[in-house]
Amino acid sequence: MKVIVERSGGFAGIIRRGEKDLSALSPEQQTALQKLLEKGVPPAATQMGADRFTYKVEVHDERGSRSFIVPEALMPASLAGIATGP
Amino acid sequence: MHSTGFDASRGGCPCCFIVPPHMLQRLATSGDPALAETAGRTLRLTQSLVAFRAQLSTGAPSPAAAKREGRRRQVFDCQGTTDLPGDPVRSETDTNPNRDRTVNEAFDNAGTTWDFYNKIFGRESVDDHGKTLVSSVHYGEKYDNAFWNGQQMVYGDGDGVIFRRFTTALDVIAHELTHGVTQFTAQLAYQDQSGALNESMSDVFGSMVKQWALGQSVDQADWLIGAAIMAPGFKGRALRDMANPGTAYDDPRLGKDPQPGDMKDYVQTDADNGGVHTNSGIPSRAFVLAAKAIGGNSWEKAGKIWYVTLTERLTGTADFAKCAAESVSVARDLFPEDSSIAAKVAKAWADVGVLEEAASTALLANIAGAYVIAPRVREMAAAPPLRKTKKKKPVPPRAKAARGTPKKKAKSSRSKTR
Repeated sequence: MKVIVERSGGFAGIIRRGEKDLSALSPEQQTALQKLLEKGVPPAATQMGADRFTYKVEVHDERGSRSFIVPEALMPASLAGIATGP
Repeated sequence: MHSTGFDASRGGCPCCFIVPPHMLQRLATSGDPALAETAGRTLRLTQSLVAFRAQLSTGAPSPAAAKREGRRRQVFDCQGTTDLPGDPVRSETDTNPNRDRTVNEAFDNAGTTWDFYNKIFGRESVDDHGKTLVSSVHYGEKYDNAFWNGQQMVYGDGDGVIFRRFTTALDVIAHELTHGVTQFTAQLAYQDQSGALNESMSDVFGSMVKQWALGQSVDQADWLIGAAIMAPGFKGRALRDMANPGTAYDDPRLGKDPQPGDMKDYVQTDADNGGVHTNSGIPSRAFVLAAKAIGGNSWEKAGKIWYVTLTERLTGTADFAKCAAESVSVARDLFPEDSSIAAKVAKAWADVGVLEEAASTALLANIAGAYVIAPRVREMAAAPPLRKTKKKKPVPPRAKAARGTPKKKAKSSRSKTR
């Protein structure tokens, strides 16, 4: 029952990964995650330019496991922060 | 050759919009504050890009366009926001430095990079038509990144613990500007091997500009990328070491430098567009080996070979083998009186496992004198990726996203994520 957020890419190409228990999410994070689960990520061609971050959001709950690849420009800031921790 | 999602060589735009504007509009008014803000921002950027997109669709200005000469630079200040480009703070006509050193670094380093491309290769800006070099500084809060967004450079201030401000390093700025050069020339698709070549080209010319500015020969160069932006909290020499990929850092928080320097260690991963910042270590090391074997200053011979390869020979879906073959061919064309140069380039690609020495019987298929493409590399080109190899019937976004469980796992231990 948790969400794992992994950030890859960027100029540095360093992977940052963090996770949070679903029960510990802030209201803002809950809303953003709910939206992602319901609507998914709009079909993406490719991210514009180069050296942008790419996020992978993995959700593990009673309905199983799902994961989403989210480009930086569409990643809610509240969820992005999980990758880099407090 | 495999599909990378789009084919820039067939007229695809390297600056693809992620989402159609109408969808952004919907997101912008969706009621979710975070999504709406991001979408609204993206939408504004998208609108400002519409005119620019027409120009980019061919990767270059129309041939009829007048070729402007002379440096043109503009620096904008985002003041901690992510709104681009921000407020104008310095342009070519301002001879006096700004009070903000970050502004001056972005301005000066863009100028040095412009001078390098102009004096060494006769290039007028990234598009070779005098495009103004636009930089935005102070992007976001403690933003740990610098990027090229398809039309300009963007720099964060860094968090102060791992990263310092990104403008301080000439190799970083030349790296970002080279993404512009690539966009207007080879249009290397930002995924898998073509993406790793895109990244490698930015590191190769990023380091080369620094060497040129410092007057360093290939033996004096450090071949490091990002050494100047590492804050005291970072355990390592730099972000990447082109001469010794995989050894740049080993940090308790960030892990170990994952770059391979040989094709046998190629990292298969879904992260970072197929590991474009990771597998770039292979072609980057090939450049270092070629430049060192040739000797002297990197920009005089090896650099010229790589420049012509990037700007005249490669197209969007080029892979490592294509780059190897073309660079050897360019070396022959540029230096017909000295065949040892092409041989050194071929040996460099062999030393990183992309080419291999051919038995005499294999020379019929020869692409590079005494070398052929290594079997491992041929197999990868014939049967690649784990992803996008099969045509799937279209599925609604929701089903598609929900289906996206983590795929395969790599054979190399280096591919393990932290």
